[in-house]
Amino acid sequence: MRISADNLFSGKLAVITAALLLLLCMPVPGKADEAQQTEYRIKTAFLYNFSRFVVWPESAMQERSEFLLCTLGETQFKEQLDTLTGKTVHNKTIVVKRHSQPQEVLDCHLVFIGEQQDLTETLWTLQKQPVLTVSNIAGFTEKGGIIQFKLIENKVRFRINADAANSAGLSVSSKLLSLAIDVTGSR
Amino acid sequence: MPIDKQVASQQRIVASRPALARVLYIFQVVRSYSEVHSAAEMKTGKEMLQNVRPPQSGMPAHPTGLPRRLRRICAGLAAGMLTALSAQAATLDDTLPDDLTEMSMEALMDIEITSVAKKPQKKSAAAAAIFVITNDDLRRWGVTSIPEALRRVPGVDVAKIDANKWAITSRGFNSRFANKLLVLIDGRSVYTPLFAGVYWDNQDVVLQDVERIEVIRGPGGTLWGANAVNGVINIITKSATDTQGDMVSVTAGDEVKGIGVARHGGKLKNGIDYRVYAKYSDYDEAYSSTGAHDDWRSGQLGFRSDWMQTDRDSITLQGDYYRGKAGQQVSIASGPAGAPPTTVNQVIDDTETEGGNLLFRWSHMIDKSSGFVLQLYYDHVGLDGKVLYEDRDTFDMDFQHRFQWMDNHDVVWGFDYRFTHDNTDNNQTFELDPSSRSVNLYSTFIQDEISLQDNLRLTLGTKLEHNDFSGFEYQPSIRIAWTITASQTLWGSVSRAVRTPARGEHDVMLRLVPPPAADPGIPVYAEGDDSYDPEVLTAYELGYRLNHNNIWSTDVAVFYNDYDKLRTLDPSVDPGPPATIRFPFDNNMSGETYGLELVSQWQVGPGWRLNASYSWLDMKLHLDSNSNDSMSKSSEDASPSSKAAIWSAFDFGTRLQFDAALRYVGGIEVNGVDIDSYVEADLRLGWEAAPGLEFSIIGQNLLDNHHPEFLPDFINTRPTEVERSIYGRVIWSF
Repeated sequence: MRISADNLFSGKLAVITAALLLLLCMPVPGKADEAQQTEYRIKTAFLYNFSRFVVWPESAMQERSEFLLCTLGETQFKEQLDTLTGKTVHNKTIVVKRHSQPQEVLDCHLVFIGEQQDLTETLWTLQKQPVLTVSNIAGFTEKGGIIQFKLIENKVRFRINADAANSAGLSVSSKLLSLAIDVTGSR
Repeated sequence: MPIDKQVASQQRIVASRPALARVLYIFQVVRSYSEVHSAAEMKTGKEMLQNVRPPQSGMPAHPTGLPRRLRRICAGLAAGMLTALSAQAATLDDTLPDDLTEMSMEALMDIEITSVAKKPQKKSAAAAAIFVITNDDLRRWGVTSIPEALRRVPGVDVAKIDANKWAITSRGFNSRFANKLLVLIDGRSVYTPLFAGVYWDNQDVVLQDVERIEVIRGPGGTLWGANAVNGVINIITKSATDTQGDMVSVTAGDEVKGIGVARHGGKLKNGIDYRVYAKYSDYDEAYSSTGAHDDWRSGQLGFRSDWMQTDRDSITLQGDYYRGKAGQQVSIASGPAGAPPTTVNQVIDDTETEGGNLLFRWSHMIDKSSGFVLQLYYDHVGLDGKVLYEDRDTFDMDFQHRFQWMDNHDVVWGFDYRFTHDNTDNNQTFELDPSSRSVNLYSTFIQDEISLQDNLRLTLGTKLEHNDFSGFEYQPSIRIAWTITASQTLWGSVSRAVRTPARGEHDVMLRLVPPPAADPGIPVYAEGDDSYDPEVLTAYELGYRLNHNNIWSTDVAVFYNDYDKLRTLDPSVDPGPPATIRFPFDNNMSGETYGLELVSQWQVGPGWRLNASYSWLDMKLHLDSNSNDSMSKSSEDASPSSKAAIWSAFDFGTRLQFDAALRYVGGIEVNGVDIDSYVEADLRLGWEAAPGLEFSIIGQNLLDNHHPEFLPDFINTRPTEVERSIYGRVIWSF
């Protein structure tokens, strides 16, 4: 058994250590939402890419002059989402809207569904509508949602329900399908 | 290389894989290193978000009022930039571009958010000297093995003894049996407890599947314990999720006769990602005027599977199996012990190696700032040569838990148990007593990382371990990092590290080739000694990092290492009969080393990156007054006092890449023999003929027909010289 303190914690160093230990009492204000900011910045960029790599039926595009990118219910998207305002997809200018009722998003091209939403009601309302549904909710694609974000090893990945996309009249590009961690339904 | 790919690779580096058990510390270091920069950038990012308006609004795009054009250039560069000094750069460039929508989806998928998520309040840098080699570096440097990849790392000496033997160390004390370095492959320790060094020819991975190699200079003893005295090299392979699809790679040339790799990555029905690979390497012999006989070949098979069982749990199972045959010529002093005349014979020895491992790891994330990792592995090493013989089985269990406490404490603690059992086949030259031995190693550690202020972070920790040779050892460290401004960090540390005795230092009886002056009739042995103690280091480090707008970055580290109880070999005469001269291992030397390491990266333009590294080292060793050792002190000359490298990565458009490097290594003296300084050049031309299909031609050590780099010690193998090497490589991913 050979524990000798050497000079590591003696003398001046001990004084410094003690002083530093005193400083420990000073808490640092937490900024726990910074991580989430990054996560949602990335997700914002994905929503933009989803808009680019999904083709909506003519009807959905002709009727509207703007590309409506919506959220439904409480989401953790903050101002990040607004950075998409003014960008163009499919020759339309993106407009970001926040809604709380499923009926209100029938006009939207893409809707991000908050985690508190009643999925059954929402998806029932949106079924066969040309609306690209996206959510974080676990099991979203199994329940009929089209794209579900999933964090894998702390990276943002996504799953796609191709059947749901088809029945909504949306055509998902093969690029998007190839990047998905899994694709359910027929391609 | 397209910008988004570069971003992808740089982001990948930062990716601290939570699933890495023993590596939590490194992982912390890397992450926090990047945080300094990313945290700073993050702030600007946020300000951006508040200030940016749609382009047509005509509002100033940046709060700092930088001219918009300059800013755009910066953003472009940031996106295209690789890690400060390659590796460093990787971590430095963790900054996300302001507008993520400009990134490709592939790049977006590679951004790791944990690095910030786990400790969002931290705003300071790693208090350690770290260099990261990325997957992209490995490709662009054109290297074929891990040792070759380490050549450009500042503070790390890489020298070839013959075609299949290397002397590799960090911060001095180089030797084939260099014993102050810890090397981990995916969390599995690969140094042999026999002599605390590494059989580098047996440490092979598919380089295309390596995510990154992290090199930490200086003690990592607090979290890793024994052997992380002067540095840690941590080789991390990609998750099977990231190696889906098939890849075939063929490398062929003169010195590298052929390396073939085939890998298949897929997904099982139940969501488990996997890859399987096979690799075969065949290397030509190096140069020797009298014939080298050091050609070697090895074959390796392996797999890795990763399973995200839930959002919070990930499970990894991986394994490898290899066999190899490495040639050498070895001088063996033979004849019955003590019976004159002793003869020294040079024999050709094809050492056969065989080994394998199986590793299981479970990482569980409790919440965003806490989690635990449990890792188990089994490792087998078999080596059968005319002198060295080792047959070893190791079982290791490691647990680490991390949590946050009182808002500003980030605590990691854990324990590790390792059992290793060896069998040796004694011969006239190399004998172990007992010939078979089991050794247990228990250790536990705790580390607390405390945010004193937004920009000031203190890390306190200690490891306590028990080994069968020297009993309990403790290894505390204190580190502090001060983020002076968003782009500058100053750090310092004091730590104690212990190099616990190797099995050989207690148990070996190694017959040495007698020095020319000695009476050849009397056998000479290096002899293990049960009272041999650990070597002890107290290290003082100071470092500074600067990252100027992601265009210029510099990382400087200086250190003062104070060693005690260094290994010596004091001669003693055993009158016999038969009479023998013995050199028992003892601890009669102390010493200091001083050094400076510098790396810089300059992003000259979007497709052109320049890097430079420089290291300076001074070693002063002092024999105790009662010591008559005439050999050990000479290791102060076996590491070059200076070493430098400069390299460039240039893209001609998106398809063609040109890489060039110039390396200087100062002169050394190994066991009284001078080895001259040398300058070598490496070149690579790469062409991406089609997506997934890359052709490259690589030249290494181009400036000389051949040059010597190092000499053997303890076991007298014939040293050979490194030759110019030219090879072509095809990588096809489909």
